[in-house]
Amino acid sequence: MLMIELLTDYTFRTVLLGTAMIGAVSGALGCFAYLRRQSLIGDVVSHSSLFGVMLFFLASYWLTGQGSKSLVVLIPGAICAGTAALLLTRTVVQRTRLKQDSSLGVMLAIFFGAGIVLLRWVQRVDPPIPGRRGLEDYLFGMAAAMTQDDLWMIGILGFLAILVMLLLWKELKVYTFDPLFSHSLGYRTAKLDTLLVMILVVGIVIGIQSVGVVLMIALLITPASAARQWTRRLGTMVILASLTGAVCGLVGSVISATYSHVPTGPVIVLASTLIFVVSLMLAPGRGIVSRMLHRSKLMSTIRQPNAGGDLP
Amino acid sequence: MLDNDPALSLKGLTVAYDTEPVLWNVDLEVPAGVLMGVVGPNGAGKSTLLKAVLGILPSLAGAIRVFGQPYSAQRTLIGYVPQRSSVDWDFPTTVLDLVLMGTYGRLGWFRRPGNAERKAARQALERVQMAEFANRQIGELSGGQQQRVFLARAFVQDAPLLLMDEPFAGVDATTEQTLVDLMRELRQKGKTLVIVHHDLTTVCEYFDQVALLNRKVIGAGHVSNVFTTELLEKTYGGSLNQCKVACRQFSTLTSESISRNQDGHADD
Amino acid sequence: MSLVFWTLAIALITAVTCALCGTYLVVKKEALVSEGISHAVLPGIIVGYLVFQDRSSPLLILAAAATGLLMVGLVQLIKRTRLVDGDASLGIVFSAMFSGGVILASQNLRNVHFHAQCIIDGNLATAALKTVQWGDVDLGPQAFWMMALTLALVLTFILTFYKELKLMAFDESLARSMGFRPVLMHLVWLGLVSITTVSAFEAAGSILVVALMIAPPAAAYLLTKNLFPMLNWSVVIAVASSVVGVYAGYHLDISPTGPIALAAGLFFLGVALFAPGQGIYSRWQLRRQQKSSVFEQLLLVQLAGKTDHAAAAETPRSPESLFRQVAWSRRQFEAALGRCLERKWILRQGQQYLITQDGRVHVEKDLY
Repeated sequence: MLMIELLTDYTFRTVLLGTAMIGAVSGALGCFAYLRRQSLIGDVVSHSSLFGVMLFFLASYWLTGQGSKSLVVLIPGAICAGTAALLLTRTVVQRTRLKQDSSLGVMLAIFFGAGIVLLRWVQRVDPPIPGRRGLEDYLFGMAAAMTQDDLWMIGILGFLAILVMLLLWKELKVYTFDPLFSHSLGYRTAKLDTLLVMILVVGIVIGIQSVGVVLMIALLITPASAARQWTRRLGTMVILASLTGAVCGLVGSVISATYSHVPTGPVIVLASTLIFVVSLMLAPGRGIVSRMLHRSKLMSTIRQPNAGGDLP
Repeated sequence: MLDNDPALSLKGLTVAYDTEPVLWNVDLEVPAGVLMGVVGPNGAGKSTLLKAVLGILPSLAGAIRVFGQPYSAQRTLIGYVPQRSSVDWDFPTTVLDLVLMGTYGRLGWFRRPGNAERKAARQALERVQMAEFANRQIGELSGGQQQRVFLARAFVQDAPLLLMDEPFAGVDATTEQTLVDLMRELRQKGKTLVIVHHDLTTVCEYFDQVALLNRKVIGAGHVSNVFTTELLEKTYGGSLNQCKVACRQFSTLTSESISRNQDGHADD
Repeated sequence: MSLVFWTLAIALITAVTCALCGTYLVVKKEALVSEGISHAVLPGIIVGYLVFQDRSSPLLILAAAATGLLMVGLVQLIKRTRLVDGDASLGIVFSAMFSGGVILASQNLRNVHFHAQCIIDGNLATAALKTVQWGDVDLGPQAFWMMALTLALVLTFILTFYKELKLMAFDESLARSMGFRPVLMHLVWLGLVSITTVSAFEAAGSILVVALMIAPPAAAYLLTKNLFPMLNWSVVIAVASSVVGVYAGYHLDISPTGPIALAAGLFFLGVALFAPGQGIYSRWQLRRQQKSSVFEQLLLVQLAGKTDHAAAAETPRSPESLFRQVAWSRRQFEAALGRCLERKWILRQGQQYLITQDGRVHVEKDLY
């Protein structure tokens, strides 16, 4: 298909706008997960959200006789399950001697296991539940299935999460950097933590339909890790990560629409990985190339016999 | 009104991790306007004491009063300088930004720091001789410089009671001198400082008052009264080597520090 | 032999192998590396399949296991630049490799039965159907024997290097100073994890591998502090989860891998809540007991005149003066007073309280 045809195509415009918004929101919020050294919560929350998605799908079936796959129904379920998984992880870490990574892993077993049980049961149960076809797409994502309603849901939730981030910018910043100090400033750190967890969960679950639960972690973490290399300010980092996420979302949708049988999610992930690798290499001052140049310059200075005394 | 109440008063404070009590029935009074050092062996609960005062760790029993009021009503009166190692220095922020965090408490929700705050932060940086580093990334600083930036942040926070956790750990001599000067200046301004300290040899030189802590308070009060061989032995138990060195140091310093203390009181 | 029997047998042997592999990962606080490996082997499996055209060829297993190690190596490489946090680099690398695998599959394997179900929850029942023949004898499913071989490999490694593993798990610096090579051992172990992941992949899929590598060892971690009992407990919990899971899967008529993972997770939750000593409930109880004993002690200290503040030491005290001395709520104070009276640590004389000899002994015993 030609580009111009694509852009006039209604479904494609929806997908394009949706993936760009998802990339922008998760990229921005991912910076906080990254800086709190909790990158892997993205993986656990997205996997766990499957359980909530299935529960709310079933609930919609019991209430209306027709299982709903609209994000308006499923995302609240995903938020509940994702938040529950994280709060349970926090409880286990605080109250037992098990460490964060194992606790997260166990939540993966419980919530994703339960999600898979429900998913397979819904797929097999007789008589069939109307609307069950396509539920499996939540595993690996199906951006093309996005509807106008879904777009609104993603837009509104993403906007709210970003709004909370901007309003509480300085509080979240100081809490992420130095939680003990933020406590001494008089902040209710437990509440702040729960709020941050909530907006992170929102940033994760809005993408599960497009990229699937398995790959959502990349949308959260990869843009943030790339953006970290280019700046020394949190604000710039969040903007760069958000832009990276949006651009990768666009690129993913375009490529997947241009070539047949190329899934959107993996392309988005590979695009952001490419940007990450380039950032790691080329970032000024910090990047690998710049470090090597610096080192070779230093070595040549050392080798010049006269310049020995001028070394910093 | 503030002058009459002690800056910090702990009564029967008991804190436990899991099974073992870390602080047992701690009674401590820190009068307003003093420079108090908290010393004791490793695992004596020094950092725990500060964290319990701040409410970061829950206490099993006991009352904490700050300038005569319960802590929950006085949260913003306490400034805190955590251990340097408790934060990630690769965080993307500049030195000036970090110091500005000290103003966040009085800014309240939603408001961003403005020019007045920036000016205060720059002045604080100048005060710790770090002005030319204002726009550096914090990861580029040395240990001593990091500590000075932390202190500048506390300076900006401008709380009447300041708790500092091991500010002298792993810093260079210049920084140590800067820190001491700044602490004295703060005390001169009427602030109260409680400082967890690990180097016994400098206690007499730096502090007016000292609290010897080993799970409970072994002794607290003026350095000349408390920093005695008997109490130090009681505090440090077996590990007396450092203690003896300190005592020798002490005997040479005693006269000097007593006279300094008396000077201090003449100022009041 | 029935299909159910072989399904259970494959589930059991997979569970045991994963649980053994995972124990070390949980102790080393690297549990989520298994999540990374289980996703990163996908491109290896697909390339292997394209090359060998046989999903259970041993060469494919080795090739795919190598992909797992490649991921570990890449993560280490990125970590070493110190430009990116360790957890983040794990997430970046495994999601990128998995994406590569999915795209490869979508381009090359469209005609083959290789869709999401295989990747996530495998297919135990199909695996149980594919049997190996030796002459005329039916030896049972290929998947079972492959897992058995893997288990033998893992067990041999654990038994041969038990001492070294134990040292490395609990004190890596000591292990290094004694001349072991922790890095090499670690790498070999991750290689075993990769091999286990790949051989379990067809039957169990990635969810079961991750769940079984983390949940049973994590539960065992709360039950004991030594490596050997921990290995035992992991195996016991893994076996119990697979029995429950296969049974539940059979009744719901779905693949048993999801139920096994869920069962393992729920077993963990049960242990975390009720384990003696380390469980949430018993720690909560301990803390409560400790709290009341601290209150009793503090009260007795006031009466015995151990602190400087109890100026009126040794003399009987009225409850009001005691209450003013301690800084507790009225309810806490009265409860502590009641408990001390009940245990005869204090006596009541009219309106006043007095410490008894028992109480004095109690204070001295506990204070120093």
